[in-house]
Parts: sequence; structure tokens; C-alpha cells
Amino acid sequence: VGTDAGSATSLFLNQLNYDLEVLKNARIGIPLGKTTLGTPVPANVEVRYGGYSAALAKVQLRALQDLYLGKSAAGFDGYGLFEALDAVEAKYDGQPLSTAISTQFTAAIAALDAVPDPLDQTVVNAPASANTAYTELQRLIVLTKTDMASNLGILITYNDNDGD
Amino acid sequence: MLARTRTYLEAPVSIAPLATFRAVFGAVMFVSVLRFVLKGWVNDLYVKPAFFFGYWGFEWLKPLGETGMYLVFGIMALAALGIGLGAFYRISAVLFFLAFTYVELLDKSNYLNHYYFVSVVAFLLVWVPANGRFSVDVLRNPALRRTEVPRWCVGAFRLQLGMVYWFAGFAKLNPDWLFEAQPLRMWLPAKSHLPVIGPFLGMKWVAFAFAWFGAIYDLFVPFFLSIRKTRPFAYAAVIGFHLMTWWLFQIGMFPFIMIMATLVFFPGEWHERMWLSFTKMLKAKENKETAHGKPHRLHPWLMGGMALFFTFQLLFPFRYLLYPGHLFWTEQGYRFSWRVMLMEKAGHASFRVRDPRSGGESEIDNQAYLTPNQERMMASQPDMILQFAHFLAEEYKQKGIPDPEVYADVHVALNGRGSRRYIDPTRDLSKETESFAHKDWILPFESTKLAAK
Repeated sequence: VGTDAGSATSLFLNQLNYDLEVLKNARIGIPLGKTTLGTPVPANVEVRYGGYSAALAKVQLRALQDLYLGKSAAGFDGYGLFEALDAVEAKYDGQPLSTAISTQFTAAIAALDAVPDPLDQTVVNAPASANTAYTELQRLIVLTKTDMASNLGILITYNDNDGD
Repeated sequence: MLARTRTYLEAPVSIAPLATFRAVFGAVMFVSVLRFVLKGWVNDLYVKPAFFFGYWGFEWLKPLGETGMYLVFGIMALAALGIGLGAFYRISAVLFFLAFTYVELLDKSNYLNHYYFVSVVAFLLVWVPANGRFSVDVLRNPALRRTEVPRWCVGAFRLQLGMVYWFAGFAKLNPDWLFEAQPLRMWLPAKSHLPVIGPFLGMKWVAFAFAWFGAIYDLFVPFFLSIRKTRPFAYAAVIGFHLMTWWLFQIGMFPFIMIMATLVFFPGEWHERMWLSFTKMLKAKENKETAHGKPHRLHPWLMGGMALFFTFQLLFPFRYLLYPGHLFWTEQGYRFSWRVMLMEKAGHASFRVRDPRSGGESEIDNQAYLTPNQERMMASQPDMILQFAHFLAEEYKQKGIPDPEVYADVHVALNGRGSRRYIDPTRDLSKETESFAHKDWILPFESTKLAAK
């Protein structure tokens, strides 16, 4: 219950962070060469022969944003993490943390939108846009993993502990 | 002066509080060890991980593999039972202390003040004849029976417990705790689903009330427990306080350890009465014929050792004063100081390994090497960040990069302030070494006042 390890809120938040990391690392980072000393690995883009790898990443990030905002597929904006952060009056450098994260979501989406398909060619020939998107996603993850988790009193962990 | 201190410390007092302390400590430890094993934590924390964050100077201590670790925990459980029952007491106490401390030294991601407390108490138990009465050892060998022990044997535990509380209270006297009610203001609303008190936990004044009451409680409870008139109220507060923390936070066995341990503040007669009704219940007869008549001499070596031990206990928590910067931020001198539940600190650490020959960089997936708990603890503690950086340098050497450089992009959020950069991203951590010296690659804490709510 509540925010203990294994509670719905903590599972939800941990999964959101996990998905953001996979998006950043597997969809963008690995093709860009982030794990191979800077040498791009175009063969490792998602749906290489479909040619819409970046498009998939954009859809996923928008879906994660909707989860954060509590928006349904039909566009109904309900209670999400955004509202939960406002309920505990979480702040980030004086402004509401909820807005700080929304703004970063928007920035990451804009950066990702600037990455053209086919991604396997982008990462080799014009990686700058993908690099920017990678950095913006990194910034977003910092906010969700540290500030959001702290303010909601959630342990970013996967097992119970014997704390003190 | 020394002679008078010695006379005071050697004065005979009832052994009963010590016997109770031994019995409840052994019992609670036995349950704790079983619980730890049954929850699968031996496997999760000491078998599965590929890398362990050893303590500086103790990195040579390594886990013993699955069979070995379960064996250690088996010994620990039996030894706890031995302490509790007063059976093969001395050897049990030594074994328990060694087994428990060994396990704690394996990985600092698992550091808890209450584990440190257990090690300290187990160490003290080694030196006192807590099996002198109401014990299996006395049943086996009546000549061991004694009704009195020198005062220091009971006093040492009262002093140690008192110091734990007092230091915990003293550490609460910081601006975040007193004037912002942080981190309670973030932790309590997270529990607002609880019945009855839930709705109150979201209120600001409640967080402040908890913070101030907690600080006052910790600072003064050892004294109120020591005074006869206030003792019953103080003990009621002990029970209330620890049950509350047990209810609100994930803190496992700690509340029960403290509730049981503080019984040692009650006087000899009270404990004698408890034991009397207990033995009556068991229909056990105490053999009253033998009473140990050995003079209660405090050996000069033991006296010196205890003086040294308590001087260390008194000074070590203050070592943070020797470091520049904000203690909560740098955590230099933070552990082993009874700083309990003072910080909500979350970090995100991402490491880059650079091949100096080509200039190429690889980002590290921490989870390939660390468990989620290890990663979480590492991401906000500089000494662990450094350890992991060294590990990565070694790993990439194996992969064929002769002199890999390791850089860290770390962001940390502390007590509700916005996250900010934690480690100098331009410093090659593979070239930095661990020591007691100040780590100048930790970026300074920008003290932004917490936003008013």
C-alpha cells in the first residue's frame, strides 16, 4: 500500500523511470554509439528495415508524457503524477516541480521531433539532433528519478529493506 | 580521582538488568537473523551481486559464496540463541559479534545505523558475565552463578544506549529538520492513506510537531529513563515513539530492538521481580546455594579498553567538523554517527568511460553491474561513486583499454531542494584515490533556501 516498495505508486513510478531509460539507452543511445566508445551501431536501431525507428520513439515518449499527466488516449486529463506532485506542493528552484517536469517533457519531445528517420542513417551522417535528444532525455530522467521520487516519498528500489 | 572512579565502577549491583538485556537482545537478534534469511536477503544482498562496496581498509573481506554465506547466517542465528539463553555464552557472544560484523563490512550499500548498533552491543556483551544468572550455563555449572556484577557491566549498556539517543537528537538540530520539517514533510504525506491519522499526515504543522517532538525525545529520553520518577513516562514514550516509527516507515526490526534494549534502564529490583514471575511461570527452581564470590575487580586493561571505546564513541560522530562543506551533501563523516532518518536524498549517476587513445566514450549501464539497491545508494554517496569508478576502470582495462578514464555525471536532490550536479564531470575519477582527506571533486553545495510552501 501507499508508497512502500512494491506499492502501486512505487511500481508505477519505477516502471516509468525504467521505460524512460530504455527509450534513452536502447532506442537512441545504443545506435548513437553511447555504449561502443562513440562508434555508431546503425544496425541496432529498432525496425531498421521499416525505417520508422525515430517515429516509434516519439510515440513512446508522448505516451509516457500522458502517463505523467494522467491523460487518457481520448485526451481526458485526469489525476496523474503531475497532480500528485502539486498535491504535496513539490518545488524545483522555486517553481512547481510538476511544471518543471512538464517543461522538460516538452523539451525532450521537441528535441526528439527534430530527429529524422531513418534513424540508422541519422546516427551515422547527422548525429547532432539525436545527441541533443539524448541529452534532453537524460535531463528528464534526472528530474523523474531524483526530484519526483523524493517528493512523493517513494523508494526507487525493488526490494523491501530493514531501514533505520 | 582514578581510584574513586574505579570504586564507583566496581561497586556491586544486581545482575538482573544485564541478564534481561542479554535475553531480549539474543531473542530479537535470533528473530532478525531468521527474518533476514527467510526474506531471501542473504541471496539478494550477499550472493547475487557481482560487485561489493567494501569499506575502506576492509575491502579484503569478501563474501563466501552461497553455501558460505548461509553458513555464516546459520552460525549467527545459533550464536544469537546462545546469547539469549546464556548458553556457551562467551563463545556465542564472540561468534555473533564476528559473524554479524563481517557481514556488515561486506557492502556499505547495506549500512544501517541499527546494524552498527548491533555490532557495538555485541562487542560490549563479549566482556561482561551476562550469563551469571537465569542462564543455561548456570544450570550446567552452578559455580558460575552470581547475583551481582560490578556496576560498569550494566552501566556500559545504559551509556551506549543513551549515546545513541542523544547523538540522534543532536543530529536533528539542523535547519532542515527544525525549520523546514524536512525530510518528514515529504515522508509523512506519503502515508496519508493510513486509517485515523492519515488525513493529518498531509498537514504542515503535523510534520513540524513530529520533527520537534522527535528531537526533544531523542535528546532527553536517556536522562528521563535514568531518573526513577520520570522512568515510567519515559518508557511509555519509548514504546509510543518506536511503534509510531514502525508504523510509518519501513524500518524493520529497529523499533523492537530499541523497545527491548531500553529495559536495561530499569533498576535491579524491577528486573528481579520480572525474572521471579518468569521462573515461576516456567516452574523452574533457581539453585540459590552457590553465589559467585569473586571480588569484582575491574582489570586495568579492561578499564583502559572501555575508556578508549567510549572516548571513540564520543568523538567519532564529531569527525565531520574536520571536513569543509555541508555534511548532508558531502557525507564526509556521516556514517557511524547515529544520524537517523535525516535526509531524503536521491541521486542519478551516469558514468562515462573514455579511451584516451581515440577519445571515444562509452556510457555505462549501471544495472549491468549493480543491484537496484546498490545503484540507489551509490548514486548519492561520493565514496561509493569513487569505488564504482575504480571498478569500471579495472573492467575496461580487462576489455583492452590500457588507461581508461572515468567521468561521472551525477545529480542529487537533497531534502526537497531541486536536483543539482554533484560531482565535477571533468575529473577523471580513475585517478582519484580514497582516503580520509576531503574529496575536492564533490561540487560545493549551493545552499538554496527551500522554497516556501
